Amino acid sequence: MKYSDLTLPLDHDWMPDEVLPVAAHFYLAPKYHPDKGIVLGSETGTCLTLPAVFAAFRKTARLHEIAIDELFLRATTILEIRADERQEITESEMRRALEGCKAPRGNALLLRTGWGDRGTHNEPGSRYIMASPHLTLPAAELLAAFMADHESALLLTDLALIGWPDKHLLPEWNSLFPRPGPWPSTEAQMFLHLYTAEKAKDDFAVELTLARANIMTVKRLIHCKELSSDRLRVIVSPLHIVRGVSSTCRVIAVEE
Amino acid sequence: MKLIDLTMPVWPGAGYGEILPFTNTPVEFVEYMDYAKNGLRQTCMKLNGETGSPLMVAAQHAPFDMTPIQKNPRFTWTLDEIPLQELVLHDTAVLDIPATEGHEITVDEMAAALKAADFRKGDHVLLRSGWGSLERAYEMGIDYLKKSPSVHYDAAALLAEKMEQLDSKMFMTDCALVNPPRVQGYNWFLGDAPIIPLPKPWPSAEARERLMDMGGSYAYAHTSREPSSYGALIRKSIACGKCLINCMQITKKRVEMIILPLKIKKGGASSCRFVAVE
Repeated sequence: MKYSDLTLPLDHDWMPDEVLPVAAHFYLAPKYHPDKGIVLGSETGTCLTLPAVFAAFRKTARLHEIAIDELFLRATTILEIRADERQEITESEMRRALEGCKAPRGNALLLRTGWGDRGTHNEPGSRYIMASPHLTLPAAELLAAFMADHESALLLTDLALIGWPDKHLLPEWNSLFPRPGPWPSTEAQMFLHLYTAEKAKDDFAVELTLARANIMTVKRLIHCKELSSDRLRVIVSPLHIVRGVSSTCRVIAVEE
Repeated sequence: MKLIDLTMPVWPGAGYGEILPFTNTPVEFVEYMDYAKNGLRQTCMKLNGETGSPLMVAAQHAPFDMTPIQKNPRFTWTLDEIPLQELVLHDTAVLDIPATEGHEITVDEMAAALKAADFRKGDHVLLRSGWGSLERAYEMGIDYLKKSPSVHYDAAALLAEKMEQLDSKMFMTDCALVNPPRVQGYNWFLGDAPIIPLPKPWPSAEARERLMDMGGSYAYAHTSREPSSYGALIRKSIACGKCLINCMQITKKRVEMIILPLKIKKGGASSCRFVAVE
């Protein structure tokens, strides 16, 4: 058996995903500090997101209700779409990749773009998030249809962002210079106070498309380069949060 | 292949976050994006190293204090340094010692259980008392920990010795506390002068006062004069896990364990997922 850890480390010095106001600052306070403990967001680092993260699907399964065999030792097929910095993965690229994808029914899909192997998650600055390749809406619709057809409800990827929130979130947040910190900075709190459900619907159209197809997503994998599609299983290990809708998680690949 | 989830869930206000003055802090959630206003939910969570079913290495207070809680530990890895071979599908012997409310597992019971178990070289150990159940944890609140069965020091010392002999590197249990509550909670919730009503954990005024009484350090977190059962075990282990549930669903004497803590850089303890594979 060969095991590979595909998880972004939770680094108390610096996290590469703390760029947008929707992210929460991760920190560990020292033991004699009043805040002693572990403070993290539900999507800190490598994370699992359920459809129930969205209000429209809040009646669907929560973290504590997910059957263990949907996440642990799940047979997985790799869907390869090499993508450059900032690249939009288009419908035609997705179609080509899906045509070559021999996914047995029920397998999870691991969309490997190479972004998690470039080391940008180790670099200072916002490039890991702001230069991530991402899916266009037509590509996501095609992927969702393919996964529904293959009874596959778990999508893993090395993308830092799956969709591209460029309708409101990115232009409005990026207009603030220097860029403020993530939640709970004052600016992030103010931003989210004015960030309506309608804006979120526009920004997260790709994620909503996947959620509508009842697909759980795991993003921000690293070190996927060496994985082979044959006899690959993944372990997705989130925190076991009662009524949770997303969680930082540990992801391990098991190759026989 | 049968998978059994042995993980205590995480929820705000859980008893395991309320019981001890220093090693616990309350579990708190803040919904900073919510369905009604933002159309989606994002949560900021305050946890600690012993939330849910935790996994703890000898340097439990790492990364800020790398001092192990017992001197000269056999292993000095932090959470992110534990080799995956120790965490994924590792052979594990189930050590059966049924124990009811408040029972301290004795050295004779431990010796008998070791004799009956199919404990092989290199195995991890899962001590099953039968206490760990979600229904019980929900129902009892902090009493789930106060009244938990536990391991007497002599029994822990015997097990630790056997673990070293067999090159066993990980200890897990469904007891909510490894140390007897009278030791762990000495003069906090039990002992000669328990504090009534029970104060909140750190950073409550009472916890800060207790720290003053302890000379400003809680490197060795309980004030009882009795030796630490947990200390005997962690000294010989890569890490220890406690507060597991559902262990009675295991039907075999040996299982493979998946043990996945958060990948905290140089971390000393974290909430962890424990899954048995039969």
